[in-house]
Amino acid sequence: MFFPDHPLFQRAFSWASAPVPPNLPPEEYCPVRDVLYGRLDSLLVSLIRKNIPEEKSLLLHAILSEIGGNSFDHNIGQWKDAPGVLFARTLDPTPFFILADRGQGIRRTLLPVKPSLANDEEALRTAFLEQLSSRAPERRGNGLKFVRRELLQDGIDLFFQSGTACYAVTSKEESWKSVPTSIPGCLAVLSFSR
Amino acid sequence: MTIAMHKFGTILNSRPAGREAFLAFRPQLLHVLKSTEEIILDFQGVQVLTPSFADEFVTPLLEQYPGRVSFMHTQNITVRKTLEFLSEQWPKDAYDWKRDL
Repeated sequence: MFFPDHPLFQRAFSWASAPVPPNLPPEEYCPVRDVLYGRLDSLLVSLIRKNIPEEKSLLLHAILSEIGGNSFDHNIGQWKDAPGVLFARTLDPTPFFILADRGQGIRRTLLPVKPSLANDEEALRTAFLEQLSSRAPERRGNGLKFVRRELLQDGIDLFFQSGTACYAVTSKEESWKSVPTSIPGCLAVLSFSR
Repeated sequence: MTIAMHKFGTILNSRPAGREAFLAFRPQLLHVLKSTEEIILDFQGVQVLTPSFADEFVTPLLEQYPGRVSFMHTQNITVRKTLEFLSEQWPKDAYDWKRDL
């Protein structure tokens, strides 16, 4: 499930893609990692109160932590302008969650360790499929591989865009495509049926 | 030696927190270095474990103490899936799953 017409998505896409970032509601802007993680912990409480199965809630927390953590891990000192991430969410009627950043994006992040990357789609495939760290020789590069594996096993849907490349998992089926409007950083939407 | 992972927090999801936890705990492992003592990571009470945290805490332990690290109370879905995922990259004889899997 992907909600391109939802106001939350529209605002996130606009924030991620605009030349100058529009103001965000303070409750959606996480300028530092601790703010994001605090909101993820609060989300966990909300999910359990809404009777979302505990295992799905915990797994969702882990997936959001990995995607959101990547934004901070890979963009420190490299933000285009506004540091940090947007984190927006709604639980009714269908739970969905958006993370976006105004960082350097997947391709620019990976180019130093894989200069052969020809385009955004190749970079996105590398990020989700290959064990490659943009911070070599540090041992990293596991986050998005873990995310992909869990999405394909556990029925949480994803839309992920960086540059013009998109990756989606819907009902455990994955797809790749390019779109005309580029996002310099990254934008991710997660959702699942109740 | 048993390390109660929940003492680092019940949500173990950040790479910096994993690195900080390892660095803070490392001095307590010095005596283990000179013995053959087993290091048991006990995940009881942990709600969320991510590959980012585990890669900074568990992986270095396995590198420094290969064959002496084992895991217990790994039933939590994120603990189980994170350890299963990372274990594909770890040497098979570097850890022990047998306690409760």
